[in-house]
Amino acid sequence: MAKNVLLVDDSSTMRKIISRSLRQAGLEFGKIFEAGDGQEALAVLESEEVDIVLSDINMPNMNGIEFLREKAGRDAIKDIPVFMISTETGEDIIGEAKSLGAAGALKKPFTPDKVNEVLGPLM
Amino acid sequence: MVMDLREEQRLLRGFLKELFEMIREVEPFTLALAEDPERIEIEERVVKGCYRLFHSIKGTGGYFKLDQLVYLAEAYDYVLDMVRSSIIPLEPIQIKLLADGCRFIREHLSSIWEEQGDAALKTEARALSTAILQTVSSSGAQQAALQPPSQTATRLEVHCGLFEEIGELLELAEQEFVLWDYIALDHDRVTELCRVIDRLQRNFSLIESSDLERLTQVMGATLNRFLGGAFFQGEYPERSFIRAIDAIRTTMECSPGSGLTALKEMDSHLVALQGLIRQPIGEMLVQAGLVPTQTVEEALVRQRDPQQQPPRRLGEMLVEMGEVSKEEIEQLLENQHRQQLHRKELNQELAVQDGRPAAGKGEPFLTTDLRLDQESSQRLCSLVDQLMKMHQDQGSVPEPLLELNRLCAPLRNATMQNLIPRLKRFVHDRTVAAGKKIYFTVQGVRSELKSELVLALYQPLLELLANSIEHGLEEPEERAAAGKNSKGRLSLLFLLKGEELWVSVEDDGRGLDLDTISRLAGERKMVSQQQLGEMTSRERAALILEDGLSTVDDQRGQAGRGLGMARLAEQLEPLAATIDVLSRPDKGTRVTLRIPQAKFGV
Repeated sequence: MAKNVLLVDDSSTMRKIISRSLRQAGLEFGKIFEAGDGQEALAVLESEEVDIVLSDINMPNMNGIEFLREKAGRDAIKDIPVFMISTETGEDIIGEAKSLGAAGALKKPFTPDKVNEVLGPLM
Repeated sequence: MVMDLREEQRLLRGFLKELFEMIREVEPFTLALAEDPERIEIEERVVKGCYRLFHSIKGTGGYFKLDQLVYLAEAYDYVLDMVRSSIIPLEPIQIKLLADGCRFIREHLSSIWEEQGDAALKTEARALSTAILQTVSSSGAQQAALQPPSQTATRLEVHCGLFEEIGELLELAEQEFVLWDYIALDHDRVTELCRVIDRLQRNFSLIESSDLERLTQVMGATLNRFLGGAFFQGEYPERSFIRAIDAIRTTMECSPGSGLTALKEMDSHLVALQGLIRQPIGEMLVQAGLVPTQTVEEALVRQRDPQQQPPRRLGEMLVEMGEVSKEEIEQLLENQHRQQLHRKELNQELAVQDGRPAAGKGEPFLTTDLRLDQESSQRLCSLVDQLMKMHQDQGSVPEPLLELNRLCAPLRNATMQNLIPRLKRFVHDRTVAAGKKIYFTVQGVRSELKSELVLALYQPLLELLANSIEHGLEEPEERAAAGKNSKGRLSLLFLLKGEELWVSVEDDGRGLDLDTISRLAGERKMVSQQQLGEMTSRERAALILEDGLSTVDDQRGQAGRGLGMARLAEQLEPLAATIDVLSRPDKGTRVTLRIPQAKFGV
């Protein structure tokens, strides 16, 4: 069954770019949900059937790290895999994201091939 | 990325609109702050807004091939990131450049749209990048004028890379010096250490830090002389090196992005290092211009001649050869002696300045505070979290709290990898203090362990290591008498075992005194005699985890075994860890903490 994806980024352009590259990567997916920050993302996760989350790190209100931390504490949604999509390349921040349960990371700007390589196995 | 043209145009338009919105939001504050840098109440807003703007450009600009904007954004992002991480304060010149940057982008949004690109912005974008980088880089304004703009990107990349590498090299060197007793015997390892110091020197030269370059050069030269067969004068030469490393770190922290800040107490460090190895008399004579190198070599050949009876010192030989006078030699030796004394005094002064007792056997000497009180730091983080949540619920978070929250980040981010050097230093320190010789190894470190777990483990590990050092492992003489290697072995091992993480601290010391433990437990009615009779040695060993059982009567050390172990059990409660104690008389003790998967979350 096709997977539903949630894209979390404060830039709507970036969300469009990501959803476009998902399509270009030839990955099959169901619905695409969007959220502008961690708080919105939590609300979507609580109300919709989401299989995979792609999230930015640097966002206003609730950033990607806080989002992971908050999500880990909510039983109903804590097992949904999250991939970080970010400009941050520092091992520290990616390491922190992973220690909080992030399933992987994609560095901006990325190519459809890279998307396929990282997300393909899950789709 | 392949996009159809109309879609790409639509996306670009959306992106430029977003940038416009971000600038519209932050620019008035930036201008206000540029006009009056004292208005610190809006600084956070400016930094946050600008960071968001440039960070977005850095992340998204690449999709639209806006190379000039991305280039500019990388420089701004680099500087703002340091400000955000409190590495540097925000300077008025930077505020002005932030305002310039916002204006520059805002003014060119429409031209970017018209041209569908930003190639025309190259000159201005590069000039702004150079300017903002200059505020944190080591080169002065003059050099900026001379520097072709195309070099700035390389400069930025090179600088970032260099600083990262310097950090790694310093850590590597520090660890080797902490283990100096063991590596000093290993020629290859000291050679490798020389290479590390060499690379540090080269990097400092590249970032144009003359002080740090000179200091590392002297460190390298001293080590090289040691490799060449010279001996260190006095005990603990590694202390001078470790202090120099600490000083380098402090200097770099004071001037991030550059190495121009003068190193505090530079001369003292140089004298301390240079004084580690007594200069051979021949070298001193050559340096003083009293004899040519050739003559010294000639004298050395004569000195080694087996016919030479009785054996002479080099100085005596040269006097005999009529090359120098006895007085001249005495004068040189006198100078050297004075320098040694001077070095000692300086070391004492440095030690006092660092707020610790002067160097000497058994005194702690490391400048870095080793104790990370796990309870307080966790409590601190949790209080800050609570406050943040309270304020977030009310809709606004006050600036001081935001700052406090940022300052807590390192506590939250603690990882095993960066605690290991601390543990090694702790072991080294305690070993010296206890007058023992210990070979300490750490194996199987899992860097992906939860930071909460790392923090929770830190104090218990210190207790366990201290117990082994102070009570488990014997004095070198006692070990030798028992037919053991005079160096005790102490190891810390991390192991994933099915659903559990096993953390073991093991020593090959005297083992627990099970008879005394059983007797005390019986006397104190902790267990009945019948129970004792039925207990295995493992169960009896585990009695030391019970409250109120101390087998150390004189309580001389800092680690009272009974007390420490009871506290350990308490500290480990939140981790739901089981503690397994295995001890064999004269063979050693192993304490294994078994932590369930739910708590360590790899």
